[in-house]
Amino acid sequence: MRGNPYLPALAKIVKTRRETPDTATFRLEIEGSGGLEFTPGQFIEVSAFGYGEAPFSISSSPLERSYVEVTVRRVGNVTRALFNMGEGGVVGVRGPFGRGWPIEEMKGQNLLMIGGGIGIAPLRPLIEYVIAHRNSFGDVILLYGARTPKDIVYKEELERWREHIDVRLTVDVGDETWRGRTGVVTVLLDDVEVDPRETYSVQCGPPIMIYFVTRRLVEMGFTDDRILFSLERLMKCGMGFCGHCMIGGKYVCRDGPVFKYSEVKGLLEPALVR
Amino acid sequence: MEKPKVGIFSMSSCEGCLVQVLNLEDKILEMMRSVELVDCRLLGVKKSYDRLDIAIVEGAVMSDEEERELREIRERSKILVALGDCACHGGRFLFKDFKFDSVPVDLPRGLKSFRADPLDKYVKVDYYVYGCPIDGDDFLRLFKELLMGKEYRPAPFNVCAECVLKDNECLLDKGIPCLGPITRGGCGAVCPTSGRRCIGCRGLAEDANVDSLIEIFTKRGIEVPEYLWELKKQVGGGRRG
Amino acid sequence: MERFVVITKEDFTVLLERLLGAYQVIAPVEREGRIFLSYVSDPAEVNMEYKGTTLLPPKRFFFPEVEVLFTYRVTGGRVELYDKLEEVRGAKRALLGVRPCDIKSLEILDKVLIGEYKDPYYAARRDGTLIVGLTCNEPDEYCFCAFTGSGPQASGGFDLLMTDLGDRYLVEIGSDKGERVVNLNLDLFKPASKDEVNEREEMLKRVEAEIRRQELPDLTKVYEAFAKNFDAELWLEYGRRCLACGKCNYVCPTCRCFDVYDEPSLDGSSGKRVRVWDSCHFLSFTRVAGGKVFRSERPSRVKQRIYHKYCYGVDEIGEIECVGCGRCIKVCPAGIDIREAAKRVVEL
Repeated sequence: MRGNPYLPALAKIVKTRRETPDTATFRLEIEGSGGLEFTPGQFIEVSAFGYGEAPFSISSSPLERSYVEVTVRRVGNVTRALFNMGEGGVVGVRGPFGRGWPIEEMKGQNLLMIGGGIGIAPLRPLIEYVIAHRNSFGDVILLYGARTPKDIVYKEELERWREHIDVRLTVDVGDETWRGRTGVVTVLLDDVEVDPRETYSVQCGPPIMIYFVTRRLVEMGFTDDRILFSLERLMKCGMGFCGHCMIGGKYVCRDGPVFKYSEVKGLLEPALVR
Repeated sequence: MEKPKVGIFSMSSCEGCLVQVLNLEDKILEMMRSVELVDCRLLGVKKSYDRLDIAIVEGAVMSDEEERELREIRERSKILVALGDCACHGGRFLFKDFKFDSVPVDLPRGLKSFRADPLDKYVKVDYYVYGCPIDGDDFLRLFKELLMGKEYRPAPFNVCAECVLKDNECLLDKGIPCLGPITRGGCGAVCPTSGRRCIGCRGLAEDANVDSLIEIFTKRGIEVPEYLWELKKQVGGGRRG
Repeated sequence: MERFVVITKEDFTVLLERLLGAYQVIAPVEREGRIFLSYVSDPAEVNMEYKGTTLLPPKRFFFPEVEVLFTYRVTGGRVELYDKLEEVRGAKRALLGVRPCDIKSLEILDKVLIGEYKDPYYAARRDGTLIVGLTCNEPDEYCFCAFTGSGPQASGGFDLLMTDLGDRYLVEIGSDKGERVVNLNLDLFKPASKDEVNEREEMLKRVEAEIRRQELPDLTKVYEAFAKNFDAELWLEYGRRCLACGKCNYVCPTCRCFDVYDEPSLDGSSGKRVRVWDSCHFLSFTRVAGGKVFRSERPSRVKQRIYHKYCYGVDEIGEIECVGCGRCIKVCPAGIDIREAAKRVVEL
């Protein structure tokens, strides 16, 4: 990267889409550039000037170069500011940072994707890539768990994705309209029949989900190098300098956020925590 | 857009915290341009209003009348800020969280024990500006962030962190019973920097380790004051794992 | 050019005056019995006779505790950014009187901050700064550089390295930049004799022997012992004592964790992005949006720093990140001694 890596590029919020009561997808167009080249699973740092900067996984398709999207839950100063700004707002963008999903390695294999809550965001670019290159992959299953039916994001996409891949949903707590499964996302794993020797499992969600899903995948016979996840830590700089995201000698921002279980299993500090 | 309505109120206090605010002079005037000050006894402002966006309250509650007044302020305010140690802790520094019935404090009036309660004994407090007196810039930051819709967070460190950056020698090493290690920072370690011990005016630091401080006092031959033993009963070593 | 030259102490004062004309000079000064590094304007302020280490390490002159990265201005729907890097570039500074341990710490920071990504603020300050080291004649009770492979000899990382030989300094030339300084002031230097070079070696041997009087393991090779004992009981004990004050991080010459925040102006139309030193001992250090704290328990935070020094550093840059300066031991109110911890871990 040339120039000053702390200096964000300016970007305009050109579109917002409300996903759930507290979550929205923001489409950002970077000023004066041909967009952003990235690998699914990478993240960017988004600045709301005056409010600070926060890391977000890129949630848009890697095939779309003219903009990037991030899907954001309103929980902190930066995210609140993004919501208040809305369309037309000017933000800063640094990145992309980190290592995404190892797409080339996963080609020719089945994919078992597991997303929890807003953790499905970094899976969306991967899913779009897979659908665009559908013949390069075997069976593709997406298991997605949300808290309640209202918390399901990407409702439009989920319908579209169903035409190409096997999409299965669950909610922790249903409501009167909900006809599908209830329970945490691991319940969906019970019905999954895949050959773990020819399948990559790919997960993103809250730490507790990754902790339990990984245990379950190991029981199902997945080897450690076929269990992939995107880890959440505080990432301030994106370059392995600020130290917040360190786990036992690795920086989530630079060496991750996508890791194989085999890469973090031996770390002195446990990477998977409840 | 209508300017946010702001009221500044005093319970029982020395008004030293308000003086800190007024000492901001130009800066506070600039800030006040973006709000409408509707109530402030010290500045002689008293307009009529129903609702307040921000109520800033300094001082401790020492009477039923003040208690009533405070509840009334809370009723009609969107955001209530406790300004200074009296409002945050009842003027008893580290004791606030520990619900002591009476704390011996020498008052010029000669009272031995008295009622002096923090605001949050009676009402919900949204934000705390710590210190005795408060730091003017701290207040400015809070105010600015409130107007921006940003969440104000007090300093995450204790007094020692700022003290060492001032190239200070540790007072504990000189046998002085400094409370810096368990006290919330953000003050710039003003007291230790001028050779005075920290007396804990910003309250207990996040994750304060009272057990360890007692051990440190003991090892250095510093007499452990009674209130530290009391604190130990309540928080001990904080998060010890 | 000879690798070693000498300069009398009287002439060194003359050299200082000349340096003050050409550089912004940072040097050890003494105030009320405390030794610290500071910008100086008068040779009389400089104290090259101090023992042990300065209170704070030199890192703050390359990576200041508060630094504005850029400022911004919002007008209408537009945002303009003003890079502060320009102000950092081009400054010509000389850092005098730094110990070999601290010189080593700068080499470690270089590996971390000027790697795959480059921290341009740090790099610009490093580029513009002449390093004039000063070997230790008298270590203090906290020094243990001989066990971390970072002293009392300095193997590189300096432009000039001075050794106090009583009435004069022996000066080792470590770089072209250092050589230029000598060449420009040839009237003050003369070639060193073999005896003078030997005198330094004797002195360093004596200092090393003094440091080695404490019995410590070779701390460059404790990775395995630490790895084996990550869950050992002793970490709970250190966790119970730790005050989570972060002083050890602030005085550590290789700790460089930072936080970043925005500081808007009163009317919000402009502001600055600021980075400040942070500490892995603070509860807030691993708190993510939504409130989860990954290292909520104090032993895990105590371990983070110590393991970063002796293990994660090896993973990260291929060497330990402790230079044995002993500052963290000196300032810890709870008396946590990283040497003692390492020794205990090895003996478990």
